[in-house]
Amino acid sequence: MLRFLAKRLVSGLSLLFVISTATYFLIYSSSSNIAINILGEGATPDQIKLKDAQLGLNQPLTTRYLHWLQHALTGNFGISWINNDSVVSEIARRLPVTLTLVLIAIALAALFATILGTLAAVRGGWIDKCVQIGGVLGFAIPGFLLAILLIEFLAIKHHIFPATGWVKFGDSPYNWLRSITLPIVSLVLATVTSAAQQIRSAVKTVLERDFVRTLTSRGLSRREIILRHVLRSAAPTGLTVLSLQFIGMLGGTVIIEHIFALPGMGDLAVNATTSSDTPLIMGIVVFTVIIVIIVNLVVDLLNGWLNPKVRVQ
Amino acid sequence: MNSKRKLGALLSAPLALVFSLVGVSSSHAAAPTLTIGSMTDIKSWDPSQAHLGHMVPMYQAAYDTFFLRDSSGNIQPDLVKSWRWDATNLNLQMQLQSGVKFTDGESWDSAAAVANLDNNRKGNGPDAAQLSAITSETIDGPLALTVHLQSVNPALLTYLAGSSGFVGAPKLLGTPALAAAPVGTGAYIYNAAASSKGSKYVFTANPNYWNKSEQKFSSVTFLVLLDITARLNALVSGQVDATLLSVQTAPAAKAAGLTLHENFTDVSNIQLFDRAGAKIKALGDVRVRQAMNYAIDRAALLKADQNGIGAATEQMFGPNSGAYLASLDSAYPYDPAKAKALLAAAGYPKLTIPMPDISFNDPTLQAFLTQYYAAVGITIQWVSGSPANYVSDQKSGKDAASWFQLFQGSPWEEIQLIAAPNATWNVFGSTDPKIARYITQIQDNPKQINTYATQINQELVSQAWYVPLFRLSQQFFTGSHVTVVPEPAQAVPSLFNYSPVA
Repeated sequence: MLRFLAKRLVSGLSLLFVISTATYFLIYSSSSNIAINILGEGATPDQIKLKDAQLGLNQPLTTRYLHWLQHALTGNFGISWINNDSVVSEIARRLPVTLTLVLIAIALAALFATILGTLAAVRGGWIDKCVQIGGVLGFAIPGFLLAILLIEFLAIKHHIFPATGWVKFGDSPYNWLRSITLPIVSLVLATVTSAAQQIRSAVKTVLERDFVRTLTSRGLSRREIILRHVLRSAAPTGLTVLSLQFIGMLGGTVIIEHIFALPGMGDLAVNATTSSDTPLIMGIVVFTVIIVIIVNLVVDLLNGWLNPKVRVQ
Repeated sequence: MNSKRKLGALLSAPLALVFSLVGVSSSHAAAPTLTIGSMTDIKSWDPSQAHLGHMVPMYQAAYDTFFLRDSSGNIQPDLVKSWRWDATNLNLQMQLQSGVKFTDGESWDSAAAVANLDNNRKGNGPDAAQLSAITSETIDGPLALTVHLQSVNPALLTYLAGSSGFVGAPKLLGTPALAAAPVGTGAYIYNAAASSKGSKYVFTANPNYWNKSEQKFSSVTFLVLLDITARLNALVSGQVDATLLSVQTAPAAKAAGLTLHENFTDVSNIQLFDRAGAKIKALGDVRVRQAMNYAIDRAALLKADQNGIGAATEQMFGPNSGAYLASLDSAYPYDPAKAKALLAAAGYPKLTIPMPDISFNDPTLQAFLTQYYAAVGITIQWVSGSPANYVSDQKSGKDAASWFQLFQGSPWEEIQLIAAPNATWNVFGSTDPKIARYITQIQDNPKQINTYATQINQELVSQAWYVPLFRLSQQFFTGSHVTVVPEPAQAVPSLFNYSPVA
């Protein structure tokens, strides 16, 4: 297990290094004059020169990169060129918003997808048909469209939930719950049907295996077979699907955060990119890659716990 | 308990929760409050980092300015009670308001005025260049000072009534503390505890405000709503009292019974930077530039691109500028035959002009421009680039022509934006002897600025330095609890122009 963890850690760090380096050089190769982007169209040549010096843009690119890397290794990602806040504080302020949405959405999606997928595989009939059709619709209908429809009915027409905004849990748990309900419902609806479809297929495959017939012939109840044995065997597929959807959601929350005006990471990433705020872009890339690495590691560990064969492999 | 009862019990709890989430619509407090949806976020609260346009009302909550522009655009006293230019128009004597204090206890006096002028002109902010004519200040008394200029600047009072005139607590100027939270003499005090950076900024009424008539709300909140759909939803659902929408979303707001306060601040235009023909020889010929003006059906373009909302125009100066001539709006009527004749006479029956791609911003406009110019023999070669670098790429001088949307301000602001040799958008440094002469005459006789600016306007039109298309209508809406009077040449209304509706 320790060897496994060490291997994953090394490969994760290598991935982090490659992505962050490539991002750094790509940002600078595509940007023309960052000082003008920051100062605006009215900037004079003297102002531009001063800003370039303030931001270190008059130094060679490799020098700037090594300077950034040296500080990043100590957890210092610099100061946002636009907001003048430390990158770490900016991300620390925004990350909980996105993680709250994504974690709750993925937990709910996992719960409902497992229930629906299992029912569809076990009972078949109209539930199965609904899940299959829902899977197609889930791919076809974008999440932001669902969000707009939910806002129209539940926020504008009936004032049940707020149309925009984020309330901190500490300020008012009740209003926090109201502010996250519609964004989370949008995210769940967009992912639950496709996840249910995948889990349905995995459960159906396991149900056709010999060991299920054996357990049935030994007199175990259908419920026990499904809950204790079938789901456990089908879990790796479900975990993989959900982990991919989690990672997809991290990027996919951009539109949801924009529509609901939520101060999350997606919103931050878009603003940082359009403003050419390089320290912030680099901080976001690094933190996102770290989250992806952690998610993949957790999924691997869970798969190993669920399925001893994986541990041997 | 049988399984159906178990199921009922299991479902009743979440159902109870769902029903308990039925929200009550927000009711307004007994004292009127104001919530504005802002399409931009504040980067720094330091007054030196303020920028004209959409973030002005946010700064206005905590900061007063040296002067005030009223809803007609006229300069009025604010922190400066009275003022006088000397005969050279290079020295501005100011008498300051007495009895004004910053919310950190410091006093507003001539030392504070000097500190703020120096901070705003040296802070390397986006509008620092507006005060570049100021060389120094002299303190004449506790509430009196003189500002010295190296060259005549007829727009100085306008600048000091706007983004270059915000006044912060002197001891905090340039510090991270002021960048994080504003401290001024303004009508409202920043409530950091209730605010959330990037999302919501809350201000409560300053109990010691020196100008009570301008303080009409018990609190002012700005919600940062960068997305236009979010702004529309927030306004229609009553979360905000006022916000800027667009010509596309305006019908939905009108259908919801919201009130439109229309204002015109920008002009959509094609900038023909290369008037000397350095990169594209053809653009050096005035007949080619005039042809590019005749080739466009502005009325049809306005209908297609802006739902007919706005005003077709053939001049860069706006109607409120003092330099506007109604006759110039028929200088280049739509005439493709004339455009072709001019191009042929100039020796360019077929011409290719590269321009930066604008499909990321306005694909309709790009499609129509392509079509109009193709009809007269001009092929526009749209060159892809990063939207984030659109402005800096234009300023770099690599494009001979490009589309943009420019502010229409007071005459001197406009001259410094589009006409002077070193104007912000005179990227290739084009010169014209008549324009140069009129600029000199303005500096010699600032009181005659409208007369000479009108001449500059006429010269710009006859020389076709630009292809103005239409003036853009700012679609600013309010709900039922507030009303507002927009002022000319400002993208969104000033905070002090809002009033509660009884």
